[in-house]
Amino acid sequence: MKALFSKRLSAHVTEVTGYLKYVLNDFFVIALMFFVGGLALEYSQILKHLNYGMWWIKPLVVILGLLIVQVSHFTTLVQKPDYVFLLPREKDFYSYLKSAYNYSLLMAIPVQIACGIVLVPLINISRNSYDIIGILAYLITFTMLKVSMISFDLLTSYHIPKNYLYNKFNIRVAYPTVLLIIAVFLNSYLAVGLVIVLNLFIYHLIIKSKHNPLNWNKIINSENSRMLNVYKFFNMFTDVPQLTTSVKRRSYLSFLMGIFKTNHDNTFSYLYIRGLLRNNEFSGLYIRLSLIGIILLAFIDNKILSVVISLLFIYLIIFQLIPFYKHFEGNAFVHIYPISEKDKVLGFKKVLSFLSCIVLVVFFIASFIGTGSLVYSLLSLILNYLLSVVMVRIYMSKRIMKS
Amino acid sequence: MALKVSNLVGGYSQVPVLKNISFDIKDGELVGLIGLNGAGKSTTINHIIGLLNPFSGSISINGVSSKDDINQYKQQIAYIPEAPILYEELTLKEHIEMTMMAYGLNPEKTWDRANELLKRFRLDNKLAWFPSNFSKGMKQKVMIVCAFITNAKLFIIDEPFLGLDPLAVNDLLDLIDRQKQNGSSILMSTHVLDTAEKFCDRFVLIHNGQIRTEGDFKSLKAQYGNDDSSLNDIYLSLAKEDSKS
Repeated sequence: MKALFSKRLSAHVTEVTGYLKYVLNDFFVIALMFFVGGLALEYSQILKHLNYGMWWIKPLVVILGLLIVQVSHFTTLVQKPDYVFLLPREKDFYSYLKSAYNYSLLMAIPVQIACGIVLVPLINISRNSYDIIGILAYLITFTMLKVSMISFDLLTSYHIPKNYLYNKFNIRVAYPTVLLIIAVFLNSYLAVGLVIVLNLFIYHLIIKSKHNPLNWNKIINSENSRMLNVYKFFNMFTDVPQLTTSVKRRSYLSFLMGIFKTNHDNTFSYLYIRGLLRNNEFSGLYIRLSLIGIILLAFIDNKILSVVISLLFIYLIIFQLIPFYKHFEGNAFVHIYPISEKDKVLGFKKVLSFLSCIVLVVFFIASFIGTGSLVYSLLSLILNYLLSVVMVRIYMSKRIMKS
Repeated sequence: MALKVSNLVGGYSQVPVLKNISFDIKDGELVGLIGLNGAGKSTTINHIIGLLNPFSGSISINGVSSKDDINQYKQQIAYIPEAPILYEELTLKEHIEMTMMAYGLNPEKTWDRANELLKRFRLDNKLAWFPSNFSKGMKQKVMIVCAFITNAKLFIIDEPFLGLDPLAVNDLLDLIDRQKQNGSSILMSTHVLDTAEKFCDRFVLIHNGQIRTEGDFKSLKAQYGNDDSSLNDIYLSLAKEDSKS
């Protein structure tokens, strides 16, 4: 079981480092360095203006501490088929979870210490003292709070009786809040004592419950949602195949979905408009690009630049939406309907034209706000219209034919 | 002749899976397509519904082949796949509307029919649901509803009984029977032989991409078994015989 975890871990590390290559590209690293540097400078400036007398310093330390201890999770690397394949080995699974637990602590503790150290100047101000032992008490409290949360996740990997003393809310929010308030307002050594008691209590529960049946649903769901967050992060930099796009109803957009009359000729327009607006990936692209375009246009007063920017964004939006034509290819029914490929393309074109019309109108308004010139906004509207016609009528057909 | 498959050679890549297959289905007939896994049942179905193009040979529905008029050919088919195929982005109600639009059905009349079917399969209060909220059996029922609201002349039903509760199986057989009386024909592939034995008018046994034999239950019994043998017995003995040779 231990071997299984190390095998999983090395596969996981390979996967993550593979993605990190894309994340830590040169530009991003430079941007990040500037960002962190700027942030540090700003922080040091702010610190200079703070002093012990300010009433809100102590509550601020509690809130920041509470945020810090939420960082990092119990990493089990459990996969869905385990529920079936490891069923006969359930009794041995404790040693797997124990390895996962150790690994999770190894990853979480340095983060807590690092974040704690960043907070040290602020804590010093709040205590109006600079002694090392007092600071250590804070760092120990942060770390041990995190340990208690991860231990709790290990505990709830097993079916345990419901108990208000140790439910998720108490462990993640209530106890940390109380302990941090004690540390900040009363006595930080008392907080250390209490957090150790809390950990011993959870440890005792783990020993008591480790022969209970495993709560597979909880283990699999929490690992899946953790990996989903990891993938979502990487997906900002590159394509992550594991990330299946999700669908949302978006009833607030139903007035747009109803735009096409329900008759035979509109079959594919009906399908495509709903698909585009409800599919998170494509609606996200459409909305994000439109919003960025609107904001840029509303703030640019250079007339030529405004026209160029609006053309660029129209191009980008339509360009990004065209691949959606293939979205339903895997569904056999789109091939079985008595509708020719030509009418399918036509249906998709109608949807694209409609969506680009919306952008044309809002871009026109935004560029009028930005430039203040009706002539130039109209000019850019006409050019945008021409570009969208060329893209939807000519460019799209070519690209669909090619693939 | 509702469906006529003649000298069909076909498959997915260059290698033919189906080696010269011919059979037909008459109006109002329910024909069972029986064969082992990998015998070529699904490939045959994929050719009929137009997902695959024949290497040679022809398929026609009521005299119309896909080469004559592809839309008229497809208009006559309703298909219920083995594993439910749904649009993740559409609700149940929108699936029904989509089917109506695609086949150009009259909305009012069809909704009457759809509501009756939805009620029968206990889906009438789930119209606003997305496929991700449905169980496997419910998805299968959605496929059945969408297929049976069309005025298709030929129903292609691939392994319909798996995952359906007994009540739904009964309802499905009832629907099939009604379509037969309306003159529609049904091609049904299945492994549930005791049900097939009771309900199918005729059987086409397919083996290694070839038609092993065809005929109604009586003639199969006369040819390969005795009066007491079930379709299951006949099929098993045929399959064993083939694997020996």
